[in-house]
Amino acid sequence: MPFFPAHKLPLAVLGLVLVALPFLFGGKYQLSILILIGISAIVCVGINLLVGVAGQISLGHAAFFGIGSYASAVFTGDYGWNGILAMFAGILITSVLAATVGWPILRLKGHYLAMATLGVGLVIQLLLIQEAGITGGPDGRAVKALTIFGLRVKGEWAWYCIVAGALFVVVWGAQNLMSSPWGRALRALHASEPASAAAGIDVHQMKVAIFAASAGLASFAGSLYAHALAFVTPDQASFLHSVEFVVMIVVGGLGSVYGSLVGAAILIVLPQVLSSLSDYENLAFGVLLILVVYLLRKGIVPTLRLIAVGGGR
Amino acid sequence: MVDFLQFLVAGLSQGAIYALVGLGFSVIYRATHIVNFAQGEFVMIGGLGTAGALSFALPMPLAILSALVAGCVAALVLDLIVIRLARFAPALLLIIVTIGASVALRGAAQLAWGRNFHSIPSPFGSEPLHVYGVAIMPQVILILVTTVGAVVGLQWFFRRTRFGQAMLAAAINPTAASLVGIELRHVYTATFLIAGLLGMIAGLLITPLAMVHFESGLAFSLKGFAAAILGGLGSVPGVVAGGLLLGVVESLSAGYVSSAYKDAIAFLLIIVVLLTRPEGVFGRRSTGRV
Amino acid sequence: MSGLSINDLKVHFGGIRALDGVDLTFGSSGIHALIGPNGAGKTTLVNAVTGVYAPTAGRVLFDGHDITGLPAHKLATLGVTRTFQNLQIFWTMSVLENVLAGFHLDSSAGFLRGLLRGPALVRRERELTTAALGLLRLVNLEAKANNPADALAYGELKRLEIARALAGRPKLLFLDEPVAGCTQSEKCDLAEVIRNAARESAVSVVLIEHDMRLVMAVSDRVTVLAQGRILSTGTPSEVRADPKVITAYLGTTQSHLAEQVHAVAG
Repeated sequence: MPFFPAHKLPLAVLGLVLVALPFLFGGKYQLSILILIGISAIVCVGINLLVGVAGQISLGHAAFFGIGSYASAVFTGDYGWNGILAMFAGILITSVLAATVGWPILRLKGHYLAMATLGVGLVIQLLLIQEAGITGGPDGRAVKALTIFGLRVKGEWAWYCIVAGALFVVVWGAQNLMSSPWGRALRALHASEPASAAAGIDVHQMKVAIFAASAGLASFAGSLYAHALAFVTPDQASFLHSVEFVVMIVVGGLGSVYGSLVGAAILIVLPQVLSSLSDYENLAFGVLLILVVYLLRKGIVPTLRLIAVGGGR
Repeated sequence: MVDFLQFLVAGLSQGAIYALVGLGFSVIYRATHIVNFAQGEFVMIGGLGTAGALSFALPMPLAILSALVAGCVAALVLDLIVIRLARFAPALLLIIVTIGASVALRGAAQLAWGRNFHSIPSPFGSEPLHVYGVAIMPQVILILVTTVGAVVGLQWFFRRTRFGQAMLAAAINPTAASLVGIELRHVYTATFLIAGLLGMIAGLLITPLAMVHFESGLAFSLKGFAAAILGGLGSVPGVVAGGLLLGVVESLSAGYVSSAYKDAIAFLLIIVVLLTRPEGVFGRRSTGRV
Repeated sequence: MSGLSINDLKVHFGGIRALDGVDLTFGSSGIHALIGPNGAGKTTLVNAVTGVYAPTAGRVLFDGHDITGLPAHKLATLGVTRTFQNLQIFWTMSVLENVLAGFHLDSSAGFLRGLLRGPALVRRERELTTAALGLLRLVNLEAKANNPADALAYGELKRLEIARALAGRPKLLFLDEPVAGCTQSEKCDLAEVIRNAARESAVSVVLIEHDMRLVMAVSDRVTVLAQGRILSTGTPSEVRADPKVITAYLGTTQSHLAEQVHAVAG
C-alpha cells in the first residue's frame, strides 16, 4: 500500500494551489478575480459532467445560475431568511425546475436539445427582467451580506476562503462521481445509448439526474455570486453567459474536471487583460477563442495530459 | 379584425426576415452539418455596412454594394476557418468556433462603424399605405416580395442549375459527390457565400424599419436558428414556414398577450413543437438502425 | 413457465409487415438460432422483443411476466439483454471498463454513493473488477483488459460485446449476428466463446446469424423466418431436411446461403 494513493494526487495539488494563490495574488482586485474564477469553476464542473461526460448540450445553464442568485437576493432581502437557508432553497427550486423541464426536453438530441435549452434559458431570463416587482427588473437589485452562524462574511479574504473551500469540495465530489459506477454509466450513455440500456442503465433518468444536479450546482454558485458581489442583474442569466460557461469547458477540456477550472480561469482573466485594448476587445477575444479551439482541439488539460503521457514513455 | 390584420402583417414581415436568416442556417447545415451561430452577424453587416457607406455620402447602390463586399469577405473567412475544423471537430466545438467568429465580427463591426445605432432610408419613403384600415409600410411590401424572390431564386438555383444540383448532391453524400468530380471545397465556399448573402439581404430589408448596431446580430442568430429548427433544418419551404410562424406568433402574442413576453411565448412554442415533433414541423422523421 | 414466449407478434412499418404474426418460444437454456434471408424480420424480432420498437400487436412473456414493449433497461433488470449487429461499444473506455459498465445493475450505482465514494463502493468495485476479468478470460481478452476499446480488432470487439452482455448475468441473451464481418479464424473463436458462455453462464442464447456453418455447429434448435413469418422450427437436422427451408433459400437471390445450406446438409 503506497503512502499516498496516486489518484488523490491531483486533489492534493489543487488544495495546495488554492492555499497558495491568495498569497501570490493578494491584492483586493486580484482576490476578487480569483473569487469570480472559483464561482465560475463550480458551475463549469457541473456543466462539464452534463456536456463533456454525458454528452448532452445545454445553452441555458446561466438561467439556473440566475435563479440561484435571485433566490438568495429575494429570500434574504424580502423575507429575512438566513442566507444558508436561502441558498439551499435556491438549489432545491432550481433542481426541481431543471428536472421538470429536463424530463421532456432531454428526449431531444444534438442541435434540437441545444435549441430547447436555449429557449428555456431565454424564458427564465425574461421572467427575471419582467417581474420587476420581485427581481428589480433589468437593472437588478442589491443583495444582503451573507451571515454564517451570526458572523457577517465581509471582504475579499473571507469570500476567497468560502469560494475556494466550496470549489475544493465540489471537485472532490465530481472526482468521486467520475470514478464511481454512476459516472461510468454517464460516460457509457454518451458512447452508446442502446448498449447502455441493454446493460440496465436507465439512460433517460440519468440524463435528467445530471441535468438537475448540474443546475443545482449552478444555482449554488449563483447564490455565492449574489452575496459576494452584493448585487445581481438579469445579465447573469443571459444566453451569452450560458455560452461563456460552455466555452470555458471546451477551452479547458470536455469531460475533464480540472479542465473546467483551467477554462474558467482563462475565460475570466482574458477579458480583464483584453479590456485594456478597449475597442479591440471583442475582436481580439473572438480571434483568440477561434485560435484556442484550433490549436487545442481536445481542450487544454487533456492536451497537456497527452503531452505528459507521451513524454513519459 | 383590423387589429388582427395589422398584427398579422407585422408578424409576416418580421417572420420573412427570420426565414431569410433561418435559410442561411439551413443552407450551411445541409451542406456541412454545422450550425453557424455567426449567421445573424450578416444581418448586422448588411444593415450597418450600408449605413456606414451612406455616411460617406456614397449613393445607395454603391453603399449596398460595399456592404455586400464586406459581408462576402466575412463569409469567405468564416468558410476558411470553419471548414478546416469540420473534418475532425465534434459538433459542440464547431458551435463554439462559430460563436467565436460572431464575437470577432461584432468586434470588427464596432471598429468599422462605431457603437451607435444606424438606420437606412426606405426606397419607398416612410409614409404608410392604408388597405382596409390596415396601415402598411411600403418597406413591408418590399420585404415580403424580396423574400419570396429570394426563396424562389434559391429553389431555382438548387433545382435548375448545374452547380446547385452539385451542391445538393454534395450535401446528400459528400463522398459519392467528390467521386463523380464535384469539388467539395467550392461547394462549401458557395454555401457560405449564399448564407451570407441571405443574411445581408435580411439586414438590408429590416434596417429601414428597425435600427441596427454592432450587437444586433445575436438576436437574429437566435431567431434564425429557431426558425430553422422549427422547419426541421433541412427543407427550404419548412424553414420559410418556420420563420413566418415564429414572426406571426411573436406579433400576435405582443398584440394580444404581452409585448414584454412575446419572446417567451415564441420560445415556449418552439419547445412544445420540438417535443411533439422532434424533427421540426416539416422535418422528416428518421429511424435509427441498431 | 420459464423462458420467453412470443405470441402472435406483429410489427408493421407503415404498409410494410416486417413481422406478421410470429409465435415462438425460447427455453431457459441452450442455444436457439434464428435464421432466414435478409429482410426476413430477424433483427426486427429482436428489436421488438428488446424494447427498441413497440410491437404493433401481440404479446411477449418472459418467465411468466408480460414484457411486451418494456424499455431495454427494464428488460435488463429481468435478465433479458442483447448484443448489436452494428457494434455498440463504449469507445471512450478501456476494455475492462466496458465490461464493468455491463455490471451496472450489480454495482453501487447510486448518485450519492458515487459522490461520497465510501469503502463499501470501493470494495464492490474490486469484486466486480475480478468478475469482469473472469469474463474477459472467457472471451480470451484478459490480456487486453487495460487497452482502450478503440484499439481492439473487429473480432475482439465482437467478443467484448458478448462479455459485456454476460456481465449483466442474463437469463436470456440475444446475439445479433455475432460473427458478421469476421474472418474464418475469428468465427471459430466466437463459436467457442458462444458455446462456453451458454454452458458456463447458464444463459439461454438466441443466435441471429447468416453463417450456416456456425448455426448448425452450435445450435440446439433452429427457427427459420421468412417474410415476417415462421417457416420452420426444430433441431438443426430437422430444419435442414425441411423442403420448405431449402425452397425458401433457393427462391431468394441469396443463392450463396442456399449453397451453404446444401453444403452443410449434404
